[in-house]
Amino acid sequence: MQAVGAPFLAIVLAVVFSASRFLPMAVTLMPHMRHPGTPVWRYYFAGQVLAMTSWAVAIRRFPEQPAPYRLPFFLGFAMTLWLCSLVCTLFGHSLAGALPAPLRLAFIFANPLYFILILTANLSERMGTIALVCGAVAGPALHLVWPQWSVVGGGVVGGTLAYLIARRL
Amino acid sequence: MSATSGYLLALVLACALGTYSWRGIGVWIADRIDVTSEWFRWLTCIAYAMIAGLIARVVLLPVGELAETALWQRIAGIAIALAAFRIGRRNQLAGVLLGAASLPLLALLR
Repeated sequence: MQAVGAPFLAIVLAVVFSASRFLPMAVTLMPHMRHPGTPVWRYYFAGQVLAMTSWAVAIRRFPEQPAPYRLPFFLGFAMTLWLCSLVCTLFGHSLAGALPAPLRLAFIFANPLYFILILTANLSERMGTIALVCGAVAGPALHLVWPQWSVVGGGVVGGTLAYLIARRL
Repeated sequence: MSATSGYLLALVLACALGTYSWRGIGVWIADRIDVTSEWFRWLTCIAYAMIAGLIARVVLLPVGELAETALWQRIAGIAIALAAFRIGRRNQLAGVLLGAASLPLLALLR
């Protein structure tokens, strides 16, 4: 966005809107890591290193882990991902222009594929499945009419719909 | 420090604050919410829906080079990834590799 000369406020707003997803992600993840005696700042730090991959993997793994192990597991895992992504972003950024177009296309497509696989891999819970489907419809639909609000709006609309459907079933 | 680097530093700090605020508020709420409550179930649905919406957008309304492929090609690529994942004993790497490799090949078919 900086490259196309987007004004300061527009960039900051775009980041703020797209980062709104971290609020419900943090709310749903942190209670799984509760353990008496853990300093509160560690949870705030975990909130900082939280990302989509670490969230999806942790939510899936936590049921099989004893409560005291969950926060250390999450911090180690999320920080490793964070470091790797930093290094890989630098690499990718400098390599992107040199890659042949078909290979670049494959790399770009790997991103949504990867998320589809980690999110659907262990879908055992009905409510989660319904929410994924509702969100997949509501997000893009809202993006067509209201692009800036599509992350928040699609989540709230799709999530509320899924919640109501799951309660009726 | 030049004007440009000052601008970039301010931009990075503002963006960092913008993204951390959500995370911090999320942790604060998490500390006070009852996980058996309906509020918690509702927020869980929202978290799943938001993530699904973001991924669906990349597939359905792509930008950049992905936008040069047809929708059926992207859907077929996802189907190949899911099939490879199932056949390959739930191997995520196999799913991602085969699915990703299939798209440039599918893009030749037109």
